[in-house]
Amino acid sequence: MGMNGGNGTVPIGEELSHGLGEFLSGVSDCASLEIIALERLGGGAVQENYALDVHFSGGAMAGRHELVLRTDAPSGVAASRSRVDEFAVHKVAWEAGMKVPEPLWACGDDSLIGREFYVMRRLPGDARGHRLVRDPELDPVRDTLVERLGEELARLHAVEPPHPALDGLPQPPLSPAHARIQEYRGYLDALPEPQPVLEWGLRWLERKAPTSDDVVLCHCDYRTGNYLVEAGELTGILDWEFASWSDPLEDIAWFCARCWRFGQWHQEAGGMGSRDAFYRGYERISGKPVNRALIPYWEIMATVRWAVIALQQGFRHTSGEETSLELALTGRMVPEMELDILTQIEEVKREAFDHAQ
Amino acid sequence: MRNSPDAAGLLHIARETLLDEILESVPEERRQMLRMAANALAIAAREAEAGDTDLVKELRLLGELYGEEAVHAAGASLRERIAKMNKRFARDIRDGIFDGACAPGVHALLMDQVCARLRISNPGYLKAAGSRSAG
Repeated sequence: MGMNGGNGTVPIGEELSHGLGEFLSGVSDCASLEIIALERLGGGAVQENYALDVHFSGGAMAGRHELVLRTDAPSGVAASRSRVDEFAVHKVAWEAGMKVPEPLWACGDDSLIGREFYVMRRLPGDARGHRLVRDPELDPVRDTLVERLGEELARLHAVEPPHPALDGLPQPPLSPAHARIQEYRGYLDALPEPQPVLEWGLRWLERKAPTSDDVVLCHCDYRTGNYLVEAGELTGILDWEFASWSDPLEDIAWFCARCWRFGQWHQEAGGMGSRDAFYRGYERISGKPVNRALIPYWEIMATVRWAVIALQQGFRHTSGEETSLELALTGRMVPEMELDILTQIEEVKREAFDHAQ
Repeated sequence: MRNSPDAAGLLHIARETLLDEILESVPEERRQMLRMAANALAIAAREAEAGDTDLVKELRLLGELYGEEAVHAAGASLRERIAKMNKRFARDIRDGIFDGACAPGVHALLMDQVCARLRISNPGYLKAAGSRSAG
């Protein structure tokens, strides 16, 4: 969720820049270096990203580089990977040939700048969903863009467990659907108010849970808002903090779910383009057809997930952990997702009924 | 008796003042925040106007499902009863108590609860969804 973090130069303390400089100097093997800028980037309530400009003298990185330093926001939220584990997934995605910012170095030692962090190259582009879905300049290339996004996702889904670099991830679940249901029920149990509608959705998901043919590396937050577009071209997929082994349909449905269309309901692939184009790109690279019959199931799962997240965000406000107007209003969005869940379940039932006639 | 204007009246005029008299003087990058604040006031105004009507209806429907006696035993106040009954309702749904023949009735009850909440928090969303399913 964006908007929480403002832009602006962060005065980095002597100690912080010293720790960062020491780290960069070690990993780049340079003779000396200068941190030219370290500026907080907007977006990301859970992680903080800083635009980091460094001039290295000597070593493999000699010259000036535009980088991003990614670290935890002071209040961490459960269910996201540590920066070091995120770096490992990000690196696997890079090695799988995906369009991601090149990941450079990770630091699991939180004594250097006070938190774990990793460094990647900075790519140009805009990730703001509300802008991207409405930018008239993108209209001629919308389907091309979502087709590219389909291709990229298929490249990621080619990574199968086990993977030597991904030991930090939780074990691949036997049933991704049941694992999610259990996870979301756990989140609900941690909140003070009962949620009959979400329980209804979860119970339905439990009864209809499909067996997954594949369990692959999933991004688990693959959606508009988490990729960069520059001059009509996809420049990079961002935010690897939720990546897990799961059913590939979960990623496909999350991308297409109504809650991530930023109000552009008719553009079913992320509010950006057509579902057909997205599937076309995916199928071209994966060589396998997208199981369309199961997409509605996973879209209901997506809506339940977003509702649970919205509840958690609202609770962050009401509990006093972090008071914010945006978090408060997010909590009040829950009935929108609830209406979608009930409607989607009805639609699936109606289709099954029509099919049986 | 309370003074006039009532809570809803105050929230309405506060919202109008923000949007009609303050918004333009606020720098562009802060306007979204101000619109969000105005939205929060609108939600609060609708909630104040609705009073307990929705809660009374919700409890009546839960009473149809569980019986009046169960509702009375759940607490002394409206809010206490709603909280307890919904807790039981949520647990029963999870346990599969409503999987069978009563499912359509439960679905309708839940839809009723959701629509009541949406009329407060985002009536536009409800309206758009209505025209979507009609179309």
